[in-house]
Amino acid sequence: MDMPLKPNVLEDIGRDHSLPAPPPPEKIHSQDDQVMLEDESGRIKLVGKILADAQLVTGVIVGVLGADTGNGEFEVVDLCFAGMAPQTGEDDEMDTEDTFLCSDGSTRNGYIAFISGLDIGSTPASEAQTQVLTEYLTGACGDLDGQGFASQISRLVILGNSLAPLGPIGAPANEDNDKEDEKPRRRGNDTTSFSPHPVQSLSAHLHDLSQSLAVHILPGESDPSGSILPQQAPPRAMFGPASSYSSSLVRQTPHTSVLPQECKQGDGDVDPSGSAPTRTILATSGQPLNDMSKYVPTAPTTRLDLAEATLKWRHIAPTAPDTLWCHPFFALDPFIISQTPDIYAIGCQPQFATRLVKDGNRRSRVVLVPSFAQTGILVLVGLRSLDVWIVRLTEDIISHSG
Amino acid sequence: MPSKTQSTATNGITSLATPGPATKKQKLLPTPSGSQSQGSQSSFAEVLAKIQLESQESAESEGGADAWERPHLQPIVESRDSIVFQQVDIEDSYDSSHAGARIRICGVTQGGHSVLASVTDFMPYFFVPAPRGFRNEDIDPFVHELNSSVGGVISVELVQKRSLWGYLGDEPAMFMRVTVTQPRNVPRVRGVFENGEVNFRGLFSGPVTTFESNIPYTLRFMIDTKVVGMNWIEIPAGKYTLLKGREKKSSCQIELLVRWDQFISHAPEGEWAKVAPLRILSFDIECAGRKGVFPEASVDPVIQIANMVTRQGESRPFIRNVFTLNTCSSIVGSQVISFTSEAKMLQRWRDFVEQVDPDLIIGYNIANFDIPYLIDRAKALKADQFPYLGRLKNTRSQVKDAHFSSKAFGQRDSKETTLEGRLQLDVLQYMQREHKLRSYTLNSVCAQFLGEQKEDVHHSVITELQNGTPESRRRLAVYCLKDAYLPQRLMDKLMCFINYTEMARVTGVPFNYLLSRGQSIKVLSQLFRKALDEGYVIPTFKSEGSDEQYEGATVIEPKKGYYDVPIATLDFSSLYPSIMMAHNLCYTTLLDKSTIERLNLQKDVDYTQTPNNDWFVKPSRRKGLLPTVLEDLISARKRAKADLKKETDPFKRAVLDGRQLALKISANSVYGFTGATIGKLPCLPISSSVTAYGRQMIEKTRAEVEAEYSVANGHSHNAEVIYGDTDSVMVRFGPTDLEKVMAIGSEAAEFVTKKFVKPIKLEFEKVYYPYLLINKKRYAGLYWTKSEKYDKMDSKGIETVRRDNCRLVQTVIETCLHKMLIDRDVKGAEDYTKQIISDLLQNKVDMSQLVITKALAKTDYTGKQAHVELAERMKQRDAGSAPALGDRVAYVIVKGIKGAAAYEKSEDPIYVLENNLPVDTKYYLENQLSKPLMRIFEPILGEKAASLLSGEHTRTIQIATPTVGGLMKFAVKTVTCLGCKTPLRANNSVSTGAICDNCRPRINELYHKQVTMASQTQVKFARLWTQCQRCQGSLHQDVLCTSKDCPIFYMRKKAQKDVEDAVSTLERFDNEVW
Repeated sequence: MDMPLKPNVLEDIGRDHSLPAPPPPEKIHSQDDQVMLEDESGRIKLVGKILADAQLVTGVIVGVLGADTGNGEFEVVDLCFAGMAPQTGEDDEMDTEDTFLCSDGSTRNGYIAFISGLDIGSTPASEAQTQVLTEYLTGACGDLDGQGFASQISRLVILGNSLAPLGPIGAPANEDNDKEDEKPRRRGNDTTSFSPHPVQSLSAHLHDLSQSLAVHILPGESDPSGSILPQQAPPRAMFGPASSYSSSLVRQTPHTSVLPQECKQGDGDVDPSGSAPTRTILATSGQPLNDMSKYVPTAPTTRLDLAEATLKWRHIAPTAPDTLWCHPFFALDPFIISQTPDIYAIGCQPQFATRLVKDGNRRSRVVLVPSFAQTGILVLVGLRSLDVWIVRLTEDIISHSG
Repeated sequence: MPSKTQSTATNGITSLATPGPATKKQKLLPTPSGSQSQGSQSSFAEVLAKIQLESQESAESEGGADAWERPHLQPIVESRDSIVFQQVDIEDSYDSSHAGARIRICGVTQGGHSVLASVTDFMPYFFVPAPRGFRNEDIDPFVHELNSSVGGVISVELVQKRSLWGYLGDEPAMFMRVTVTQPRNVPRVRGVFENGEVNFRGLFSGPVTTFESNIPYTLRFMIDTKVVGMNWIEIPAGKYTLLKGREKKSSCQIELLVRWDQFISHAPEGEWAKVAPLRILSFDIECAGRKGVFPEASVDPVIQIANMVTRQGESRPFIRNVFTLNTCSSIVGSQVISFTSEAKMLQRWRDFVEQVDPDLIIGYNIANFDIPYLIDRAKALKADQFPYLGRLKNTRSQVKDAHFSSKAFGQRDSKETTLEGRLQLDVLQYMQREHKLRSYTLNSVCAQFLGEQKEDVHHSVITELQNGTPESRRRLAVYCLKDAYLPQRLMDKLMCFINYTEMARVTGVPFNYLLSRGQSIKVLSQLFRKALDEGYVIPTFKSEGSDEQYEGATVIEPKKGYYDVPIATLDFSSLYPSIMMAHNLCYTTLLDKSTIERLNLQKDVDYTQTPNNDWFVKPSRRKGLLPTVLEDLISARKRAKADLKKETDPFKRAVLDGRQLALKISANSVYGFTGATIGKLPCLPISSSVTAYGRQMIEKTRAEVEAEYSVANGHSHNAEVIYGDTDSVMVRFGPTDLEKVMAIGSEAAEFVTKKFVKPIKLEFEKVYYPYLLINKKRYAGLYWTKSEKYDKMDSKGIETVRRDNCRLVQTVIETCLHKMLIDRDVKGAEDYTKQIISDLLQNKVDMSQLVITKALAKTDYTGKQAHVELAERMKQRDAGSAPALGDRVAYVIVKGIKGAAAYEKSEDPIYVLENNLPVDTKYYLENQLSKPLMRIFEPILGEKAASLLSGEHTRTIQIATPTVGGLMKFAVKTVTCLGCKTPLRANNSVSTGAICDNCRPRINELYHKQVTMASQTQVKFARLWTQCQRCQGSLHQDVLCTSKDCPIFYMRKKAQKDVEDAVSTLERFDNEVW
């Protein structure tokens, strides 16, 4: 898509050097946007009423129905997306490499917990909140109900932004990675302002958690990992003693894992009818969705709609590499969704939201996970039913809602 | 196209295209060139598509394939139809079939039909003073006498005329008008007179000065028939003979014969100010060169020719096509015509040109490259039918070497190809002539005027693309089409064609003269026209260059400094023309001592003595010709400006604006004409008197202003003239209030005007506040015409358009001026400068800021030059990628051996990046930055200015460690700890790790640091790369552009290397023990 408001390096350079750069706009869509269809052979401009409502973003793979008007443009009557990818049935092959290892002989297997934006190191309060989280997950706090619930959580997936950005303390996480920030570069040279504390603190929590459940940690925008996608996992050794637990895994973002439900029927299982299906989980730290949301007006399209759309486009990050930075790939595109995941978790979102997306007999549970530091929300997904609960953890209150 | 797109659902779809309406929309939309925003860099393929969208054409005529022919012509009846057309080209023609010379006029009617009028019976002539005692009876024997000695004389006629030169009293003198058969006979017959070889009854003694004998035949014709460049001509019914069938010699639709005095020439006023729907062809060719060699027509094929044809007055080209050698995938909105044989392609292109029949051919560097290359290439391919690109069927187009030398524009060698009946406008030549730019590449010109970067594909890549697939050739074709469209857009944006048309009309010369001739022919044309009206004849001087100099304009010594109070500027409007008018300075009013005595003239009654001690008669005795010319020009300009205010139609406005501009330039060039010692009619008494008056007036203005606006006269401050130059004075009136100064300014202008002779007028135009006066002709200030908001930042003489400056200089100076003048923050400017110097010394300045580019124009430069030396060295390293003749060489200055000259230290920026060569920051500081910086800071800081260049901020220096070079061959590379730079050895670290054991506790911190750095470089590179992808208009293909003028090219290259380095350093952590 051709958008006049896209950030433009030439403009940055051409701008008068003495004026401070205006803040990057929150949204980049405008009336003058044009939609192009492109392949290796070239481009053609798409026109048609339908496009206005289609909420397209750059890089979407699309089939268009219509005709070349002879005016060098293509009148679109209908659009067609790939639709949701096939879903793994029981008989499907499993990617054994990505199979979770069984951490211990635990029988708790009912829920998987998602969390994002621990933001350790931003404020002392978040630290306390994280402490509550650890206690909750390890069953060390809450009433009996809560403990019972917690005991069924078999693993925790941390979707990015575990550490506060390396900015001045208390500064908001930088939502846009477009801004070329010169300040941190200078700060990088300044060794004194660095505090190893957040990493140690995170490591300590991970260590505690790993003793009782499997933990996956995905790097997010503010985490110490390259900022271009797919984000490489930081060396697990960074997390000190926690790294010794094989159940605790550091992953790259985005990350797909196939989760074979552990064999035993847990006591009080929420969905007793289940016959141990495999569950694929697709997890990202939210950068693609954050970027895409700049392309569309807020009002009619929610982030949830966009997340759903990515499933239908079969592509997690279409806007890469145009406005979302990614590693170059020649042969394969790591962002293509070849299998519809059962659970599609997106971290670092402004609000919690969830929807069960269905397409024929394919379905997927989409979960937008907000920042824990700001909302105190921990999201639980039932592995059998794909039902969602949220647990609100503040420093002293734990509330459940289904 | 749908079949080529990623469509999954287009099968079985019937066309939904609605057939385009028969009437084509031809509205004047603002062209895309109107957008200055750099943000709207849509891909060119899209632009093509858009053009087609707006022209509403049907699918069959993609790229205007059905619109090549001119509109069909209804049969013409000689006795009924008059023929009215705008002439574009007037040439003399010789034909053996008829004895005399003819004038050939090509033009276009309002209906878009092409016309060729052959004008008959116009005979060239000139004047000779009739010797005393020559009588009417002597004419016949005299003609006979001339014919027997030189021949070619038709008649001699006695006429009463006055010589233009000097005032000798009012009685006209007797002249002989000698009419000859052929233009080429003029110099021969003239020679007889000039050499004193006429021996007619002893009446002639010695050499005789001839009059009006050096004027081109076509111009003579135009003057006598009152035809001016690009005007409308009407040939009434019955006055012409149509030529048909085999009589026709041209490809024009209407061809006719007319006698020279049988047509009407319309002055370009009112209705006749319009412009016919001329067809403008803009084209560009691509050649497949070999590696390292600039394409040569004898070897390297022409592979593509892209064409855009636009009707004058329309904003979109109605024909867009590209001729390609070998197959090429289709391009939306353009017709692709593929060939397997190059000769056939060239031939077809020629046919295309004939069919489309453009009146004006434009392009970028077509005069020196594209057209000669095509013609030479056709010769090499033995395509004999090719070089008939003009309108005459049997005239080959030939390339000639032309040498252009003008005082105003310098010397230039160029090639010239006459295409009969078609105008040429090489936009490059136009740019070189009308705009002073840092670089004249199409890319930088577009960046300057259209606000766009252009993809620049190196010619070695072109060959690769050509040898690839239809897709890669398509890519090349899109590039080529873009290059063909840009000249058209530049022309529209800058109004080149309209402005030149108006210039031709105002000065009365053919359009072609404007680019191929200098200034003086324009003045001469006006002078001849006026002289004809008033009965003067103009003497022919042998042009001999004299070195005689005269004193130029005066400059009041500037009181340098930074003025933080409003400075009013008082300008004399059109100073030199007004002086000439006010004091009646002209050839015809020039007196000498003997005439004064002979006619007994009284000083200040009959004549004036100028400050230069020349004498001119007063208008009461005789009104000068030049003042009349100037008055006409100035009143015409006033009219044009008044009409401009009333006019609402954008096209007519453009014409009027072009006209007033042309009139202004013309009025100002009259003075220069009289002072051009190498010109046709130099008259130093006029030009030096003009400047002498100018000097006097500036001084007088100063005296008047300073005397009137003083404390003694009851004003709050003593006014002070701080600077004055040619036609303006800068006055510090004292008050700090802007409005008050403006009021005083206009009052003072009126006050002083009263002291001068009409029409000299002093005007108050603007206030500079603040004002930085650096030196003579060097100043900068914030420009105010109204007190609410400043208009712009104005700077003279400090723009760093010099090409041997790097971009850094420009950026620094501009930013400093901005800080000083707009932000009023001198301290900020100082700090900024220090920061930049510090960055420079620490190697933090972006490479693209340091690159200097120069064209490699020839091989044998006399002196050693940096870019030539570098090209030579690059050739030794890799002949393939080395710059070839004609390429632009970009270089940076790197550190070299002590005492090495700058030219030895030049290096290829890419090589510098790859090998981490240290840049010679000292060179940049001392040879590039220091002088301009000192210039702007000295008036402010005085002695202290030098402190900018030395001191605390210059202490930290970082020098890159090169990976090549003499010493480096002996160096052993060791990896150092990222924490403390200790060399890593087996005993203090893990193998291929990142840090030493001592720093291990800080591993987290160091890792963080490295990650942050790596991700920043990654983001930076990603941004630059996607920008380049957008510019080229495809996200699927690799970026090919190697435009050395693009500000992000080196940045992109550097970022690429930075990413690689940062990531490889980061990887060392993988081996680390945590």
